[in-house]
Amino acid sequence: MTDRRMRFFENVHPAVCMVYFVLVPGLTLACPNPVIVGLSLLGGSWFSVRLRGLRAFGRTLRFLVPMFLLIAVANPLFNHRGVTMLFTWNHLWYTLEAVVYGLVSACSLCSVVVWFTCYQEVMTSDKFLYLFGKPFPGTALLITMTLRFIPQLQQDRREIRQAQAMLRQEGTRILQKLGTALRNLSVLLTMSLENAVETADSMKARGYGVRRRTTFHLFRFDARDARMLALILAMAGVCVVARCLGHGHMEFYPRMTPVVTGPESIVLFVLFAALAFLPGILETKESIRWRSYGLTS
Amino acid sequence: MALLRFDKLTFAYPRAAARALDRVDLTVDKGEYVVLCGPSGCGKTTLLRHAKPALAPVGAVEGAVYYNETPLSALDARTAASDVGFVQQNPDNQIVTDFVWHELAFGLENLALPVPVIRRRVAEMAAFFGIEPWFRSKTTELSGGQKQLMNLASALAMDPKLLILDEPTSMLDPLSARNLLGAVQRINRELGVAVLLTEHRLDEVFPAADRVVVMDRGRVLADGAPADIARELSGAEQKSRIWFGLPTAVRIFSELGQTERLPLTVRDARGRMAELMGERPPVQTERSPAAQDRKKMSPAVLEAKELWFRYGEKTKDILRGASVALRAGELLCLLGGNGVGKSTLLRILAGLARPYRGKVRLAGEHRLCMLPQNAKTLFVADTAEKELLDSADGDGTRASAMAERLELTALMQRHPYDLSGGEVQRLAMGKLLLRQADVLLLDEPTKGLDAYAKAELASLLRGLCGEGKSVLVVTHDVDFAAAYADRCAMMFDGQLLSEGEPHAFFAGNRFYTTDANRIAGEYFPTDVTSEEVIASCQSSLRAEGPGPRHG
Repeated sequence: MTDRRMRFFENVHPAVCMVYFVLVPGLTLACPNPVIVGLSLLGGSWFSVRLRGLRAFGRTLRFLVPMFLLIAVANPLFNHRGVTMLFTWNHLWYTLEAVVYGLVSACSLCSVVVWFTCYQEVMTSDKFLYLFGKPFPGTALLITMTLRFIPQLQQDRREIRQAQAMLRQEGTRILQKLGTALRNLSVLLTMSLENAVETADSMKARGYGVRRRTTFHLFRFDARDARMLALILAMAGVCVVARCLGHGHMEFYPRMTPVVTGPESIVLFVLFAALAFLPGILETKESIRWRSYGLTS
Repeated sequence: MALLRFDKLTFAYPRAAARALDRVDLTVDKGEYVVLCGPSGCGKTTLLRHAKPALAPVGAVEGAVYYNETPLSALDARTAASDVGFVQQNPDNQIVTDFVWHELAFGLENLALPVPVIRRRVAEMAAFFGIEPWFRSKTTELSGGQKQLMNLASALAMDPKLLILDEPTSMLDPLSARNLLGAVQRINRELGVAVLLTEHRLDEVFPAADRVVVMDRGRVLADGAPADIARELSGAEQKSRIWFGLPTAVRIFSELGQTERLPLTVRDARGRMAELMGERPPVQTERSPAAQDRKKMSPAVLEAKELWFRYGEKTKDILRGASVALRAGELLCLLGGNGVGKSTLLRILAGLARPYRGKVRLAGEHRLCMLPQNAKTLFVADTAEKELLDSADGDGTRASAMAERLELTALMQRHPYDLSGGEVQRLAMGKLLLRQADVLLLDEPTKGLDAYAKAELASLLRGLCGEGKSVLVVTHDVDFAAAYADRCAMMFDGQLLSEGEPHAFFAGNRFYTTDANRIAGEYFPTDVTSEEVIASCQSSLRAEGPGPRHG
């Protein structure tokens, strides 16, 4: 990550982040309702843009828009349930219910993907390991080592390829290319195994296996984290209760039930909106703080 | 009381003909700084590994090793892990985790210390070594010097009483190496941790060490204070391989027969030089410029004009109009500090990176090869012989001729990974030469070589130049460049600043020069190698009669 822009969520305690990333996409999936999924998609997109920048979000869109269109178009094409006919073609009904259902499920799936791009940015490997490493210190170490090993392998592979090209020009035909690739792979394997012996020595030298290890981390659960967690849990709690009472849910077939089922669903929509836009608001506040408070002078 | 004591330790690897260690007696006292030296393959590493039960090699053992007068085998695992720290050669392979802070904590996690304790220890280490700026970095993003400093810090985080370092600087450039050895010295002086270190960069560690131990063929040959060992090595009939690695000051004065009070540092040597030479005026040594001129006339084989390079659109320029020309049959050394773009320039010349402005031209029928920093990436087979055969396309006569020429014949059945640093390099070079390489680019080839292996490498390179091949060496090694290059060039800020024949090049520099020139520059400003200084001193002393002239 070369961009060192201030990020609010970067310094939030992993547990708080995790709770948030479980609750919001979970609620989105539990409420197949145009308002909820729309809010979720908007909130997630705002967060994603704030976190990763417009350019990276654009790259995600290149994959997201086709997916959205595919689901939204495919559902009415293949699903002919529903009572409100839009038109017939080839003796088949194309219904409004199927179109809306397609749009809602496309929105819901895309919003989960968008939230996941945010999750990846926020929940770095060390945070994940901190949360789930305690009961499984061995597995946690294995994951850490793998994460260190992959870039190392990539670098070795590059070096080997360049070195071997000094000895032999890479061929142009597929068989020649395959031969070179196999040769380079065998060099990489030999080298990695040799290096692994030294890594094992270095682990033994530092007492690996002496006793069951602890997992060190740099995180602190501070007052701000407590406030965040309380806020998230309170808002999401009300949403969950409302959903359990049957609000925010919608039947599409054979006929669509109303979106708003009473004052409770308005409360649900408002609170969910607050929850979904919370990270976007916080991230934006963070950058405004730096722009207007003169902290950079 | 001895902290660590080897008591008549004898050891043989399984199925080995000779003993790797032969009745080794050695003690390290509390807070002592001991340097262990000897040619590669003399048993240094084997000995060091015996001091750490988890790393002790498998084989037949006699004798014992005591820690605090307890046999190491009887020591509990926790003490054995925490009290003796071990740092190996390769900075990369020792790293276990993905973040610097996690790596520092790795040993402490293994001891199952609670998180707040680890947090404090890690903070202490980061502060002591100045690691704070890259504390939260990924381990793969660090430079070699930073990696090794982190390895040292994570060994020290376990609060050892004894720190063992097995050639810790052999993969580092001289500046990072000096930095690391400085840190080791601080650990010893400020924290009182005993240090047992193998090293061939003796000019750095000799003045700092309390004791020097010389090993050869599994035996301890000498054990004493640095000055005594220097005298002993200098007095020998046949100069041993280690002698070539001694500090320049020691070598100059022992050759001049001044073995009474051998100076160990440049400062002491300058004083002794003043005593010896009195107030003689500076002498410019005459050198025949004919050979240099002839090379200047020969056409450029590889030429780069005004190269500009950066890694990305928004990054800074690495090269800012660098131009370089390599002539047929010449050995050109490119010097300069860290991060001035030397390696980048080399990669561009080799065609591995493309400049955004400027051109590289390789003349006519030449074939250019770059010896990679990690020469092992060239190896594909399980013996040296198969390696050469592979590059000779199965032609046995060419392969064995190359083996003979590079003095590898005795090693043909060995696995390439079992060869020493110098041998690895020769084998790699052999492979490239068999592919008809005649323009060779080398990136830091003297890294990890002792002085003797460096001389061997130099004579090989000079031989190649004699055949009309051209060699471009990028190096930090000022002594190597001064002694063997046809031309030296200094790189700074992405450009080639000054270039010239080594004597002219170094004599003009005040700081960026060889130790020999620093020591005798006042009297012989154009002498840059210790051999030249010795010759000049001798002729000067002979001409004016023995003894210094006063007044």
